[in-house]
Amino acid sequence: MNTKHNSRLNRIKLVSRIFRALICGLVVIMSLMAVLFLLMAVKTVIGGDVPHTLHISFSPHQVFTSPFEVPLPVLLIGAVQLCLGGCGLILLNRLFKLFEQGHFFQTGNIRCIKFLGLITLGIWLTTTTLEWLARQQGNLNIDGTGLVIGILIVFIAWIMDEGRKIQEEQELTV
Amino acid sequence: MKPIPNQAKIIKVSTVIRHVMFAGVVVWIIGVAVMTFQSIHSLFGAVQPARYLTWGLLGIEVLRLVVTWQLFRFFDRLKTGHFFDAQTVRHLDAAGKWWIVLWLYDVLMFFIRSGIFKIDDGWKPIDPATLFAGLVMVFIAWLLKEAQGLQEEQELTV
Repeated sequence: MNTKHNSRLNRIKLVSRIFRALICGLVVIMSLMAVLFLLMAVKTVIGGDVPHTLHISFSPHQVFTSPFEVPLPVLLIGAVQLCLGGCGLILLNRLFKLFEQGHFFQTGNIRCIKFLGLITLGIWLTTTTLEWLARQQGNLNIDGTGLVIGILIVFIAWIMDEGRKIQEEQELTV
Repeated sequence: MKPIPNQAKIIKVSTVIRHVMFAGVVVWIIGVAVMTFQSIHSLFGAVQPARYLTWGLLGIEVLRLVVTWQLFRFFDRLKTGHFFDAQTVRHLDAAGKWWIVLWLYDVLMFFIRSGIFKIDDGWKPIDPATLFAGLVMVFIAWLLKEAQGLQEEQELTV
């Protein structure tokens, strides 16, 4: 192994470590915001005079100041969206952990990337459904970015998988 | 070199997406032409906020055209069977970088629109999905570039 090879590997490992730290930071911030939001909502319900400065947003036109204001369909779709987001963060963390260990184009990585693409598509679908529900209030903001990026990630994962298969075959051929 | 097992399928899907991207390029070219006409028209008689809006939107249309063009070139390379060679990865990288530029421009335009011109049109452009999309593309392109470099070095080291 030469120094150039090692420096390249170290660079990938460093970037992966930074991304993992960012993901952990994001989870902590989001959890704190959720707790703060719940505390403020409870305080408002029991009669405390709390200014509505914290909002929960499921989509551009589904923004609420208290969890008690959220309609049931929005709450259900929002919960699905939140679960998908959580799964996405876990998968991202796993993917960067594999990169950190020096595994790049192996089955585990490619599966992670493929599922991340599917999760992106799922989040886009839930956001679009929520925006469609908000259309009764005269608001509709449908953006195709999530759809494009989701398809692109799944497609890239597919090509990577095919490349991995051929590499495995070549390794087995003596 | 042995062909990739599902090469024909990949090429077929790439061709379909390439056609969609081509349609996008055509739509954005028309959009840029219309916005250019409107922007020039706004120079004669329109009030300053309206002038700002049309010229600002022209910038957005141009950036969207560049992103779609880079994606079109990326799928065009895949269609011709060039899976992740240097040129293909460069197009993906460029698409991601331009997408980030588009997001930054959109944010800047929003702040100027609401801060200086006090235009409240209910348009919420600060969408993190655009930034996320750009970052994902740049990251995948970077990873592919690094992996290619690693593989080339491994092949050279016997």
